[in-house]
Parts: sequence; structure tokens; C-alpha cells
Amino acid sequence: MLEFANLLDKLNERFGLFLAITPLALMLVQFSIVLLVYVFGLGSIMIQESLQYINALMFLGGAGYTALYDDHVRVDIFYSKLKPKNRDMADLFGTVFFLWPMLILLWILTIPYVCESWRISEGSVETSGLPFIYLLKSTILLFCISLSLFAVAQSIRLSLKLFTAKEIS
Amino acid sequence: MDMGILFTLLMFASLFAFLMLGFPVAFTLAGTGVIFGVIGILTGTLDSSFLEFFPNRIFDNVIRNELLFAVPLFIMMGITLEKSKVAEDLLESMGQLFGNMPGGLGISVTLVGALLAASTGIVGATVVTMGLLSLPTMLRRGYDPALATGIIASSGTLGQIIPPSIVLILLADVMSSAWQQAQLSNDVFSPTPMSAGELFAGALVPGLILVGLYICYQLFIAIVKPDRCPAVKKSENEHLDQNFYKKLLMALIPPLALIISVLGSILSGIATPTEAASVGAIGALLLGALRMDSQNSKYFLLTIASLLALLFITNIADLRMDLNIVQLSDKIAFALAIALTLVFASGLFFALKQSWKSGILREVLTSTVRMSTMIYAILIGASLFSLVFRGYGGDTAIEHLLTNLPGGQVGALIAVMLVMFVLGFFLDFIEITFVVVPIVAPALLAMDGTLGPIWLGVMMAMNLQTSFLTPPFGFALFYLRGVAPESVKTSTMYRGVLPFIIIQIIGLLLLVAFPALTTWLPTKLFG
Repeated sequence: MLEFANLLDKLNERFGLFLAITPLALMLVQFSIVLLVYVFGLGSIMIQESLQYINALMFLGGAGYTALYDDHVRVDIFYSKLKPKNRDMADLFGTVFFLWPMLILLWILTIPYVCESWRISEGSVETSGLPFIYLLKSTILLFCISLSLFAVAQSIRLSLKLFTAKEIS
Repeated sequence: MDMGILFTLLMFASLFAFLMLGFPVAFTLAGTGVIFGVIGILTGTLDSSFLEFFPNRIFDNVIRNELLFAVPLFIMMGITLEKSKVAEDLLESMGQLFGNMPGGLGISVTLVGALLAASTGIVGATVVTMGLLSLPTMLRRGYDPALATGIIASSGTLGQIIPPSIVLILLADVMSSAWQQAQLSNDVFSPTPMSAGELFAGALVPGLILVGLYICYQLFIAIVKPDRCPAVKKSENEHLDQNFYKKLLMALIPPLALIISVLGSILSGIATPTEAASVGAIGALLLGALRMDSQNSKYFLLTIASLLALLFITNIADLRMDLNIVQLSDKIAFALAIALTLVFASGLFFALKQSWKSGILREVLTSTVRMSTMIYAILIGASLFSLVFRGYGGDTAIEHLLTNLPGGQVGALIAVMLVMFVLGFFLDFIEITFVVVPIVAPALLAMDGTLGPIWLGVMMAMNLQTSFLTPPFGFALFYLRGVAPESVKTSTMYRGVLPFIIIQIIGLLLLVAFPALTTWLPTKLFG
């Protein structure tokens, strides 16, 4: 079980490292737009819209990776003073009662939403924009996937730690 | 009391209790939303169809929101300046420049905090960085621990209100839709927008006033009680030769020029915050490469020079080649511009390669992904929470509550400010911006006697900044405690921060007495 959890973590870790190119791409593309517009007087809605794709890929895909590094801010006035075991309990409680319900709701709502967009091959509202709105909408699923990977791994890890530790000791 | 209001209150109370558990804020917000959504649907208080809007809200308000692209770019700029030690150099050089007068080191900390803290915007991160960088030095040089910690905590929060700051961008996003809503509810059917640039302009003068007041206080202490903030002894600082000044200028001017040009291009309306942020991130990267890889400094200087030359050509020639008649001089300028762009691009590529090799780029990029994702996740969690909250009629309940307070607009404003001040003990700027501001701001802005979104935004920002400094819960103190040595007592820190809280209150009162301090510059710049 623990190996499975570690495998899921590794997936998130890999994906997070891959996402490291997204802020770089965001910076380079935005800067190219600045050069094109302000120096050469050229503008392109397609390039402008590509920023949305890059940015969405980063912040939706990176959610699980960020959780893995425990970089989602907490209100840690009390949390930081808890014993490690109580922290784990708070985390398990949160995973079961907050994270999981959020993910289940998101899965239920997002799949039809994304499917509908694929079905009509939804394009940009701008006539000369990028015609891949269905891909852009699908990035919401990345948020669900990466966080679900984390949530499964975290649930396994915390339950093992909290409920088997007694038997060992 | 009808079911809706009851659930609204219950929802807020539960959120508050749940947050204290310490589970990540983003998921706690979303989870509380789901729990109450389900309860509402089961009891028939809520219509289940409203939840279906949620994916579309993520899409419209978050994914397609171009203003928010500035957030990862500014984060990247801040982290690059920090990791490539440009920020450290700046602090050190300023310390050397002002160090040989009493109070000089502390004043340098305030100035650097005001300049650099801006680009991270997370109170905790800024205070921790400043604390690690400057507290040991200040204590070693014989500063009174109370004064030193007070200076660091206050300077760490200063960056939030001084543009370009991330929290101001987030606040601008929320405020501008609140402002639209308020105008619509007052039957203004062509509402005027409010841009991030305007909020930046509005925050600039109050921010500088705070810096000025902080410095005045430190000068006062330096004159009255110089032993609390002694000058650096000459022996440590004697080689003040030409070489020293050259190094000093090298450390001071580039980051200052970068920040001023980024801010200037936003305030003058030339560039959007997102465009300026990308230039800022590129600039930080080049400065970082220059700082870390001195062997190749001539290449990086050439790269920066070619960019400046490019901007110069743009100003003197018309580079649009698709016009009917293109003058020869413009053709030459165009060819030159292409050449400069190529030089710049290859220089940039080289800088990226070098900083990748040193491992800094990778660290910067992964940190940027994590920090931006964290902010965006809160935005998503908060929008689920507020969707359910609105479903219960929570927004109308709050509006009703605010409009019925004694004292009209002033009474409502005072109530909101007090509540935000208390919330600031528990929640960071970002959470308050995404959860509380969208609920209270439209009502406040729609009431008679409102001073507009810019003034309200700056007041809120300064109010929260004060809250972060206030013992016993202030965020800034909490984080500074974590990095301060054991020898500095917590009560000492509280004592040290007190004068700065008084300064903050003076600042807030000044804004109330003279609203023009915030509204004058935006009107001047943006009309």
C-alpha cells in the first residue's frame, strides 16, 4: 500500500518538475508579445491567447505537486503547536471531509462540462483566436487528477501511520 | 430569522472553526462550500442547479483572467532577485552606505523591504527572508532587539502596499468587479472600470508616506537614543575607496532601475501589469545572471544594452513595415532592430543556460509553480465557497446588515474595517481578498458617501497590514518569531512593534482625513 502511495507521489513529482517550464514559457511568450507590440507594432490574438493555456496548465496541473511539498498555505496558529500525531489526524480529517468532497464535486461537475465542450469542438470567442477551448477547459481535469493522486496517497499514508503504529509499538 | 440567514452565519462560523484545524486553506474553503451545499440541497434550502455553474466560473473568472498572469511573473521576478542574491547585495550595500550613521542599518532594512518585498506579497515569506537576512547583522552591530524586530516586521509588511505588489493585483481584480456590481445596483448602466494600474497609483503615495514615517521614527530614535541603533564602527567599514563605491553602485542601481521601470511603465499607462511583469522577470533573470556569473558579465551587459538600444530605436523610428510608404531611415532602423533583437535573444538564451547550470533557474521555476498554484488554489476554493454562500442569499444578508448599521456609510465602513482587522489575525491577505472583499465591497461601494474603489482598496490594504503587525496574533510577528534567535524574547518583539502600529494608525487616519492622498495620483495619471 505504501509503495502505491509513493508511486502516486512520484507521478505528481514528475509532473510538477515538467511544469517548471510553464512559468518560463509564460515569461518568454509574454515578453515576445511586448517586443512585437511595442517595438514592431505587430499583435496576434493567437499568441495572446496561448498565455491562457500555459498559465492554466501551470496552476491547475501543479495543484497536486504543490500539495506534495506542503506549500498550500495553512492557518497554522494552532497547527504548528500540535504534536506530529495530532497534525496527522488534522490532515486526515481535512483530506476526508474537505479535500475529497471538493474533488468528488469537481469530478461530477467537470466531466459533463468538458465533454460538452469537446462535443461541439468549442473554439475561441475571438474570430482569430486559438480554436482549442475544449483543451483549455480540459485543464480543469488536471486539477482534479493531480489532487486526486495526492489525496489517495495522503489518505493511505496517514491511515497507515495513524492506525498501524500502535500494533508495531 | 429565515433559514438563509441562519445558514449564512453558520457557514461563516464553521469556516472559521475548520480553518483553525490547520488544513490547507484552499481545500478547507472548498470543502466547507461542498458540505453546506449538500446540506442546503438536502434540506431544500438550495437549488442544486446553481452548483453547475462552478466549472464555468473557474473558466471565466480564473483561467481566462489575463490580469492574473501577472501573479506568476511577479513571483518569478521576486524569487529570482532573492535566489540570485541580488536582494541580499542590495541590503548589504545600503547597510554599508548608511551604516556609519546611527540608525542607518535599520533605515536600509526599511527601504529594501519597501522595494523588494513587493514582488512576493506573502507576508510570511517576506518577513522570514528579511528576518534571516538582517536580524543577525543588526543584533551583532548592537541594535536594541526590540527596535530591530520592530523594524523587520514592519518593513516585511510594507511591500504589500507598495506597488508593484501581488496582493494589490489580486485586490484590484476583486475590487474592480465589486465596483462594477456596485454601480449596476445604483442603476449606472455603463459602469466605469477600475484597473490594477489605478490601484497601484492610489497606493503609491500612502505607501511612500508610511516609508517616510517609518524612517522619521528611526531618525528620531537615532537622535534621542543613539545607543539603541549604533553606527557601524569605522574599523569594519574603513576601506571606503573608489572600488567600494563602484561595487555599491553596481549593487544599488540595477535593481532600483528595474523596479522603477516596471512600476513606471504601469503607472504611465504604457504597459499592462502583466506586460510589465514579464519585463521585470526577464530583467531580474539577467541581473541574477550578472550577479552569479561574473566571468561572463560582458555578455549579459551586452544583452541588457541591446534591449535598451532596441527601446531607444523604437522611440525615434517607425518600425511598422506594412505601411504604404516606408522611409529609408525607418528601413535601416528596422534592420537594426531585428539585429538587436537577435543579439538580445541569444544573450537571454545564454543567461538562461548559465542559470540553469548553476541550478538557480530550476529552483526559481519550481518555486514559482508552487507559489502561484497555491494562490490560484485559494481562488478556486474561495469561489466555490462564495458560490454556495451566495446560493443561501448570504451576499444580500450581508448587504442588508451593512446598510442597516447605525451611522450609514461611515458606520458600515468602520464595522468592515474592524472585522477585517480581526480576520487579519488568522487569515493572510490573499484569503481575505478572495473571501471577504467580494462580499462586503459591493455593498460598501454602493452606499451614499463612498469614496470609490481605489480609496477603499488602499484603506483595506493598509488596515490588513496593521493587523499583521498587531500582537499577539499578527502574522508578521508569528513568522519573525520563527526565525529570531531564542535570546530575543517574544515580549521584546511586541514592545518593538508597538511604535510601528501607532505609525500605521496615523497613516490610516491621514487617509481618512485626506482621501486625496490616494485619489489624486490615479486621477492625474489615468484621468
